[in-house]
Amino acid sequence: METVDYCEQASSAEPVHGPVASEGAAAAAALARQPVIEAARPAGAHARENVTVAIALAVSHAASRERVHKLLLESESEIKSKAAVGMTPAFELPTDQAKVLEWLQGYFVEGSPTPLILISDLLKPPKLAIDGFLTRECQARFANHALGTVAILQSRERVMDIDRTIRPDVSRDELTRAMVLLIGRLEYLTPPKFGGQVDPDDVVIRPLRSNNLTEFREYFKLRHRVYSKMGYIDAITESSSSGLEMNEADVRSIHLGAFYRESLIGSARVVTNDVVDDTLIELCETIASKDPVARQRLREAYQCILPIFQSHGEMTSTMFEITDAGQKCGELSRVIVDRDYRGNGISRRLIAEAIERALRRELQRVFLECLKVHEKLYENHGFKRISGVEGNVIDVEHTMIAMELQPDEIAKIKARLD
Amino acid sequence: MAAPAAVVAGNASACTYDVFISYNSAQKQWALALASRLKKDNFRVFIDEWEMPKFLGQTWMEVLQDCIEQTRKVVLVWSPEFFANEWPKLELAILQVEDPNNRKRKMIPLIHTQCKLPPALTILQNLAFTVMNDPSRTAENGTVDFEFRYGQLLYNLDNSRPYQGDFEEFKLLREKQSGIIDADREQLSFEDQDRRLRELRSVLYQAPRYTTPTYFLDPHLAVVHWNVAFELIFKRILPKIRRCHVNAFIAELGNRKEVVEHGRKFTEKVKAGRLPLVDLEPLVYESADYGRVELTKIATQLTDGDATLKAWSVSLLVRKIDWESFLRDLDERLQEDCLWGVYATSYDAVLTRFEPYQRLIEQVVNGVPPDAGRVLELGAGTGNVTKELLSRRYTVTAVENNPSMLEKMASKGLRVNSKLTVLFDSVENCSFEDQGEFDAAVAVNVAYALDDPLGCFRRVSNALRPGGMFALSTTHSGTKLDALLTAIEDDLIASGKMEQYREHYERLVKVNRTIERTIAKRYSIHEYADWLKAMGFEIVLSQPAYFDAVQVIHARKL
Repeated sequence: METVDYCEQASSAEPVHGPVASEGAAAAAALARQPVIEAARPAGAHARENVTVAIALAVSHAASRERVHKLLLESESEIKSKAAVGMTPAFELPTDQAKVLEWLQGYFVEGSPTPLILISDLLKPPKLAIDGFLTRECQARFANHALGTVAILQSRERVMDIDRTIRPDVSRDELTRAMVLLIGRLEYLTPPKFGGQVDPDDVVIRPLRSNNLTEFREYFKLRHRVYSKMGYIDAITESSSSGLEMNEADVRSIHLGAFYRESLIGSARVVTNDVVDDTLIELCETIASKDPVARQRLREAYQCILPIFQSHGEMTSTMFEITDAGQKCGELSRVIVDRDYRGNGISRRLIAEAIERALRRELQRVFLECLKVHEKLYENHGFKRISGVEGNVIDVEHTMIAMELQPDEIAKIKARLD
Repeated sequence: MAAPAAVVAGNASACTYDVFISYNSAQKQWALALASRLKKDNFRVFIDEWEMPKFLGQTWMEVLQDCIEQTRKVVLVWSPEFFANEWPKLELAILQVEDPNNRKRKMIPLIHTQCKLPPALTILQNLAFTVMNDPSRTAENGTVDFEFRYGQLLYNLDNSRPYQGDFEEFKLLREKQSGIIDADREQLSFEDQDRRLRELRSVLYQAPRYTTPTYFLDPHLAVVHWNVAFELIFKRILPKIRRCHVNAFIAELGNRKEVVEHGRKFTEKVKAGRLPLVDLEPLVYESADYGRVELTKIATQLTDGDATLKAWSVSLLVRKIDWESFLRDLDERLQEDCLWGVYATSYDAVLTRFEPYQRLIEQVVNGVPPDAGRVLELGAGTGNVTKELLSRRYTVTAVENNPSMLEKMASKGLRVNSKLTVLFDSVENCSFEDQGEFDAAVAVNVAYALDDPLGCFRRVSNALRPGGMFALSTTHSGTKLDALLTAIEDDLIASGKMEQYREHYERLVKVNRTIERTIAKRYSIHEYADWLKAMGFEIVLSQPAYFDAVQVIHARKL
């Protein structure tokens, strides 16, 4: 599905201390047994202290504003300890969409400011023509900045392009939880302060081994860990105790991992329109067997074979072209690199390897969905935006664009492979 | 009675007459009364008394032939005299040339007076459209009640029109005669009802096979199976959709854009945690055989004991189709399927104890090299060959699509295990390629029943490794079954089992005679050999066997 990429934005010039590799798999396994909030913290997080977040409140409803204020004060220390961050006193913003936007514009214009969390009841579903203005603009202008959004809405359901939603009567625990997860996301959007340079030779990009359950389990956990922080997965999957992010498309996919000294630090997936792979079904079913949520997700099949065809009605004719011609095709998704390893060009290597593997598997066309801000990144890999195609990706509730790998790029890579 | 404006849908206009009345002069008054009545109800009637004068100068024979051809339905007024007289018999003969088994239901026998039927016509007695004889409705003079007969006749001429006569009585009568209900019997106790249902359950699973066009999806939406009716309508695209994602099926539909849109909404619901238990939508398919087919899709979840989704059953209610062709083909295909099922019991009972049959199996299986590992068996039937293959320690993949045969096979203890895989699929369109490479393929008395032997041989060739063996036996254009059937009979008599097996033996003979007449001799030995060569085989052995009823062929893939 959608691809998420962070490392390319990182300018990790300063090598501090290298990631604690020996903790890798064991630490991840240990983390998985802990509550979600804990698990959301990447391995090695104990080393960080200096991250600070700022909070801005734009709440028009007086009672809500007071409640959020009060709860924030009460839970500040808990948030600080759980997310291992410092917090600056909250900014009070005017309660007018245009003015909030103006303020944000000013805030982000100066260099790389402190990551900011905007809590507001002005954030509404983006599809609403007038009320959705602020949400739409935040997405359009600051998707690439360290801005997290919390909407105060009557329903707790996730809303497209908004990171978290809380209700006016939100409890302290709920607010704490939302904040901690959101801070995790913001961390991902800021360069790691303690991430270090890794010798590229120590990082191996390869397909996951289908005889290795542990490897796959770690892979689904990594996806869950990062996607929870990004606010990309639904509440039910997010709170599932086993912490696996898997879905039906996984049974017809090529799965790649980035391994640093044998521990999994990155992932990429190419969903294909091929016949379902029985080995993968068995493997996924086994991994999901103790997790009712994951088991359910494995049964939620897409009627439009690739997730991208599901999100974008405009692509129906492309889908038929492919089916009519009996072509094989694929969709790149779940490109994720553990925050601690960003800035080492790992995602670039994951993408390149994924494309190569796809072409070796005789896929004739490769698509992807991504946030508009990542368009440039994928252009560097030979993808081009499919014009007029933009839609809500139901799995992650974000507006995304569709891209396709260009034929000349495919020819070039194929020539190299032969 | 309301006037039947268009009695005959379809080729009505092509016919000059709606009804041709064939009778013996002993029933002339009755027949004329019937003709007048039909005319009053706007049927175009041919009755010699009225129509012959129009054909002055032509011979009786010519007129008959033309008129019967030009008529949609022929009513035969049956009576002892009818069968004693030459003319009606001639008419009957003309009809039977055109359609010997009355499949088009052109003949409607109307029993005027109870009579003994000539043996050749007994088959017509069981037709759905046969007008029932009801002794209680017999008039004093031994002939039947005109009104009662007329009502039934109208219903049979056009059963789409509401029957305005004594229909309830008519239905009751039919049900009574076919043993469906018995008004006089006491109600079954609940225990008995439950017991009967339980007895039924073991065969009920066969039901979807014979009903509405239906296909089945696994939880990942791959098309894993379908029934006979679906196979008929979508025959042309089956290879494209077999085991593929349902997307491949949708792409073949006439309204695919709408269907995809519907699918998208469906998936949205699923992802929102509201997996629908049932899903309905209209589908359109342009069929080469049946024109534009309009269907209503009804997809239902099949769940296991833990309410886990195991599969989707997708039934397609047919709203529009070329009914005449479709029903004709469906009827034929279902009869065939049921026939094989019933036949299976009989041939299994008779043949498994018939030594030459066991020898034939060995002769064919000898074509499989002893060192072969995986063997593909086409049309495994009741498992007699499967058993032989397993006894020789091969790993067998058996293909069979007749539920009765499969049941029989299972009852012999031949169940799926590490040495045996059973594919519930038709040899006619199953692609064996995705099953991996085979060292040999076996088909005992299967090829003659294929509509497309060449296509089948191609798929077998693709499934075999180079050097792999294909061993088969089949009837052919020179086949004579007399010697075989006599041998079976002699064997049964000699072993004193004839009485015990008579029913099975007679069915075996009947079915074999039908097969002999219809499909057994379609292709010659040369044709089989040519097809095998064309598909990359060399013939290493070809010899007659089994009382010259079949040819045994061993072929090697080059």
